[in-house]
Order: sequence, then structure tokens, then C-alpha cells
Amino acid sequence: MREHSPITAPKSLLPTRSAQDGPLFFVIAIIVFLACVSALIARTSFNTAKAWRADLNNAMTVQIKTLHNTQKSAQSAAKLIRALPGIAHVQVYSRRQAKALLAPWLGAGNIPNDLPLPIPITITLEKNSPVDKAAIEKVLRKNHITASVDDHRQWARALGKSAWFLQLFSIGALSLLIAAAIAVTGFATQASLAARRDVVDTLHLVGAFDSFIAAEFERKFASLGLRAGLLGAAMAALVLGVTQIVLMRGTDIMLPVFHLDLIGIGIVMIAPPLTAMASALTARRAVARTLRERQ
Amino acid sequence: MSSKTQAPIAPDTGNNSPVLELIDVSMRYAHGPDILHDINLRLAPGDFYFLTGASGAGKSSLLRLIYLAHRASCGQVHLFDQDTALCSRRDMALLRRRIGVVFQGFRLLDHLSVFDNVALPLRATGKKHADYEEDVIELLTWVGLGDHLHAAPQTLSGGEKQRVAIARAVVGKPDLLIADEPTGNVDPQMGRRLMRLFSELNRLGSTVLIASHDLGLVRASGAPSLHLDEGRLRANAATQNGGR
Repeated sequence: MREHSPITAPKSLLPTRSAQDGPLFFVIAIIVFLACVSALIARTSFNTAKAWRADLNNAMTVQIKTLHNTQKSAQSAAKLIRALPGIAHVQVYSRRQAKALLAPWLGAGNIPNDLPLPIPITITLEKNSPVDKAAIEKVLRKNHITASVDDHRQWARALGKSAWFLQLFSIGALSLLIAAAIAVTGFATQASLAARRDVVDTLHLVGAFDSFIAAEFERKFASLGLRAGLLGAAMAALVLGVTQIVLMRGTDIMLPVFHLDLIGIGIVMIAPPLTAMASALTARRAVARTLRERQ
Repeated sequence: MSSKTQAPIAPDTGNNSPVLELIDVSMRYAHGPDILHDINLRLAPGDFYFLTGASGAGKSSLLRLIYLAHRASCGQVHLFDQDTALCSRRDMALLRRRIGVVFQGFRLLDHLSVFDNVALPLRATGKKHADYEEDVIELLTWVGLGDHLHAAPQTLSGGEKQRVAIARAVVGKPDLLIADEPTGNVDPQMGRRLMRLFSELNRLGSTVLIASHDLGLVRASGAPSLHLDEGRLRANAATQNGGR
């Protein structure tokens, strides 16, 4: 027999490239990018809200409102508060510091020295401290110190609601993106199937099982999904990484700092295989549905 | 011809298990009129028949029905002793594996090489590359395409494409070989050579049904023929001589 150059079996019986593959690749990559960003924003907002609420829950602010000897009253109040159990730290603001707090609104040097200023006292509680707003109000009232006590509960509640809405929004956006990805892949598979009708028909007529034909499409779309997922996830990691660096350098942007922690890295890492799996399953279902309509 | 009153054409040659049996079969596309009417046909193992008829008589439709690309609108289609109406999709695929088809339009896949097109039925049944590589090369060499193993079908002439299609149809040594105008695009010498291949397969046990409008080829082969006329099957005189 004549010598022939070696023959290797093609990996796929489908054409390696088709007109739909390019746009589909980029659409999936963009969806994965947006999905990763949404997931990481949800995660960051959750972490930030949790940290802020923890800070607020462990802190109280007392404002000394006496008109005379305000600083002295503040020192007395601080002493009384320090004596309570479960107090980690008490800081009394000086008149100069109180002025500095008002400077952004009234301007530096515009506050006369004889103008009575409320003096703030910040209190940091120990973990599981028995002290609450009522306990501090009680001790101050008992010692005839006119003051208001703020345990930031209203802020904490508002912050909690905001964080909850942000998470809900992110999860909703994520769900919509996943649904869009599945719909786009399904649509693309149908288009791909229509474009490769000759391949499907021929395989069908030579006796290939439906599962064999579906597996061909499944492999192709899994590979496409994986590559698009890698690009989308890498872009998300890059964009969020750069944002993190910019924010940590201290800009004026009022945004929570992204911390690409282990869970964040996990989200980015799991996105490509999940995309591949979703693409493969969607393709398999689309092919199975199309084949069922045939003889 | 009334199927109710007449015995099936190509009567059983003695074997009780026909390869193909059509009983009162009609066929239509979608909601259109019947293309085939009351077809009764029985092919035994080892039969060799030509199917003749004018263009539009329904030859290709009858072949589509037999190689399970289309369902009958009424009647029964039995293949290898199985009523195809009762077969699962998996069973239908298994039946198709026993049928080799030379399609009129070749149905070659342009993105695959000549070798891969011919190996397609074997690969689709899960065979390993190493198990069929030599057989495919040998067959392609036999049909004169040994130098075109890596060629893309679109670079071949019509006759070469037809030989690839024939090689693909016979590579799995089918029990039933169906060919739709298999010599339409080849020169007379290659036509005779391909007919010898079909005869050889028939001698080895394959039942062969070839649709052709080349009456010279039909006469020269000496094989009996079935004639389709406006969707109705009629036996030619040669049919009465038996299937071989």
C-alpha cells in the first residue's frame, strides 16, 4: 500500500469557526464581566455595610449642651462615662477640635471665642457592652449635665436599608445577566444549529445518536463559554483591581473600597467554568429540542 | 396498482425476514398532496434492485422513506423486522447504522477532509480512529482517491465527490445500501467500476437498491428494476425474475 501522510482525527465534527461565534464570544464575555462586577459590588456593599454597622453599633456620641463651663462639664461627663462597665474608650473634643468640626460650614476663624459650642464626646463600647443610650442619659441626668446622647441607631437602620437595597439590586442584576447569558447562548445555539443543518442532518442520517450530536455542540459551546468567561472575568478583576488601587490612594470619590478577598477571587475564578457549564447545558438543551422535532 | 389486492412487488425469495417491507405506504411533505401512493414493497437479504422512473416520479421520496429521513403518512414501514412506527429514537439511529446511503446531493461536509467524510459513519457510531483508519484509506484508494485523503470536498470534481459519497455509504458494510443516482456524475468507466463495487457488496450479503434514470446502465447490469410512475410502484418485467 502507498505511504500516506499521518491522519489525525478532528477534535470536533463541527466547523471550528462560524459567523455567529465572534459576536457570541464578545456578548458572553461582556455578560460575564458585568456579572462578576455585580457580584463583587454586592459582596463589597455587604462587607462595607457590615463594617459600618459594627462601627456604629459600638459607638455613641454625647453632645454637652451647657452654656457655661462646657469643657468642664464635658470632662465631668467623660469621667462618669469611663466609670461605667463595658466602656473601651472615651474621647472629649477640645473647643479647638469642636471649632474645626464646624469650620467647613462657618469658615475657619469666623467663630467668636465667647460663642458657646456644643462639645462632642465620642464613646467606643467594648464588645457586648451592657451600656446603652439610656444608661448614659441616666448617669448624666443624675449629675445634672445637660447633654444629648446619640447611639446612631437611626443611621445604622438607614445604612442597613441602603445596603440591603444595594445587595438586592446587585443580586437582581446578576440574575438578569445570568438569564440573559442563557437566553443569548440558547439563541446562538439555535442559529448555529440552523447554520450547520447539513452537519446535523448528515450525522443524523448516518446513525449518530442524538446524544452524540448534542455532545458535539456541547463541547463547542463549553469551549466558547470558557474562553469568553475567562476574558470577562479577567476584565472584571482588572477593572476592579485598578479601581481598588485608585481608591486606596485616597481620592475624593465617595465609594466603598473594593477588597478582592478570597471570596471575591473565588467569584472571579468560578465565573469561567460556570459560564462554560451554562453554555454547554444550554447548547445541549437547544440541540435536543431541535433534534426531537426531526424524524 | 391497488395494494389491497396485489402482493408486494419483489416477492420474498425464500428468506422469511425481509430487510425492508413497505405495506400500503403513502407519503406526503407537510400538508401537501401524497407524493407516494399505496406502495407495497418487500426486499429480502441479498436482493439487488434498480428503481427507475421519470424525474418527479417520487424515486428520491421513496428512498428518503426507506433510509428513515421521512415518515410515511400512512401504511407500515418495516426495516430489519422492526416496525419503524414503534421504534424509539435510539432504535431508529441503530437502524440507520445498518443502511448506507449515497445521497443525490452527496451531503459531504465541506469543513472535513475526504478521509473524515468517509470515516463519519464509523466515528458517529463511536469507533476509534485507529480501528478504522486503514479500512478508510484502503477504500478511498480503491475508488481512486488515495491521493486526496486530506483534500477538502470543495476542491474535488463532481465525479470525485460522488466517489467520496459512495465510499462513505459503503464503509460501514451496510446491510442495505441505497443509492440515489450514484453514477450520474462519473465517466462510464468509473460508473462500471462503482457498479462492480455495488455488486461485490451485494455478493457479500448487502441488499442494494439503486435509483437511476440511466436505463442503459440498468439493462447492462442485468439486475431487476422497480418502476415508479406518478408515485405508484410498478414492477418491470425483470422484477419477476427475482431479486438477484
